[in-house]
Amino acid sequence: MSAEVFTEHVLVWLGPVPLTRTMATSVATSLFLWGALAPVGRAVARTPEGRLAAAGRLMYRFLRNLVTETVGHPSRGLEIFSGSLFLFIAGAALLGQLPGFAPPTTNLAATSALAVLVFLAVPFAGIRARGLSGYFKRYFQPSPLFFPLHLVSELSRTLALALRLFGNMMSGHLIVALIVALVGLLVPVPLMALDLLIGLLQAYIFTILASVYIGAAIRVGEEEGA
Amino acid sequence: MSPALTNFLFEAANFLVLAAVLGWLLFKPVRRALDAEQARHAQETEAARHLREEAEVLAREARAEREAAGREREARRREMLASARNEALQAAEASKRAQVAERQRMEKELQDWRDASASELVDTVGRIAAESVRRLLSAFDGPALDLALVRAACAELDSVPVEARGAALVESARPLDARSRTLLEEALGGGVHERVVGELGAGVRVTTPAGQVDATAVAVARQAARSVNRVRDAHGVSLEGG
Repeated sequence: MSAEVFTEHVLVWLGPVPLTRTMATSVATSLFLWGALAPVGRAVARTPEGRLAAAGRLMYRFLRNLVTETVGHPSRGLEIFSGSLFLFIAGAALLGQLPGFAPPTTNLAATSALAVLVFLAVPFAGIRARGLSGYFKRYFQPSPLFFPLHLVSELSRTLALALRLFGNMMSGHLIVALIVALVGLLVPVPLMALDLLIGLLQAYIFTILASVYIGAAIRVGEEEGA
Repeated sequence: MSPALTNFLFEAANFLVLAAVLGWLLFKPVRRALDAEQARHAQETEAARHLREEAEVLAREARAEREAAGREREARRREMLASARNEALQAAEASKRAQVAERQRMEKELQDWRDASASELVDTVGRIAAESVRRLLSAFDGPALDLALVRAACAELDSVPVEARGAALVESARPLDARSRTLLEEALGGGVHERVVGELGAGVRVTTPAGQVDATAVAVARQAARSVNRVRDAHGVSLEGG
């Protein structure tokens, strides 16, 4: 295992564009998820009675329930977005247990990118649900004086998203890397299991928070529309 | 270009691509399967609801039929009960009528037997009385009983029209003596057809087309019995057969 906390390890420069190790692990994580979950989708479509299909339905039902409880009704786009977030972060945590593999979520730029995507998804979903003026009107309620507070709130929670995920994943991975470097392979196994558990928990927390933020924007619009 | 900025942009793009791929390859077929399953469940639920409604309708119909059958059975039971009661009453009435008829028949038989016994008793009493009277008259050298009765009969024959006296039949307990025959021939205006009937006791009984003149001991006894019966009817006392 290896950990680079605040530096970017550039593997190769493609002209002015650097190809970093985080980018490589992100692609690897995406390919892993693609390769692992595409058969599940095919199994659901072709052999719905199989165990793989049952697992796929179970996972999707879990996501749908999560979104439904947050938003109040099923939302196809939010299901895909939240499900992808959960699978990406959980897959990264799972692959992070491989020797020499640093999950992309241990990089602040990667977690910031995910948090910024959530930050952008909130107004996207809100504007789609209640319109442009309807969505931005809530920044000036109950008084226009609250606009800076709303703005700071959204920025701070986005920053919190990024830092929470980065801090938890990086710290766990760093501790395991240090233990492995000091005492060998078998000793840090419990810590690796704990790191995996923390990774899955962070995936769930990140997904829940993203769903709550986006769902709040959608639900506020619907409540006002009603 | 800064590696951090490149990393940031690449991660965002990578995630969007991943979401699109997963949405196409994983979420879409799973969502379709779940929707199809949900639609099938809804269809099955609807079918089950229809079946339940049909079952409820059938249950209501069965309940109504059962209630109607119960009412019909109750009506039939009441009807049969009334019919049975009617038949029982009729049977009791018929039995009562049969008992009354049997009783009346037995009473009639008893009455007939009483009448026959009384008549026989009267005849016997008449004969005995006539014999006793005749013997008594013979012992005191008095007039003959038979002759006295013949004279009484001749006196009665005066009330019979002359033209009806020719074909008269004379019955007597014993053969007529000459004196009696002469008296009768004078009363009848011609010959006498005789016949001996011992049960008469004494005297003669003359039968003409216009009527009968009975001057026998039995007739006297019967007359006495009739008198006694009249007294019985008038005072509720019976001398016939106890």
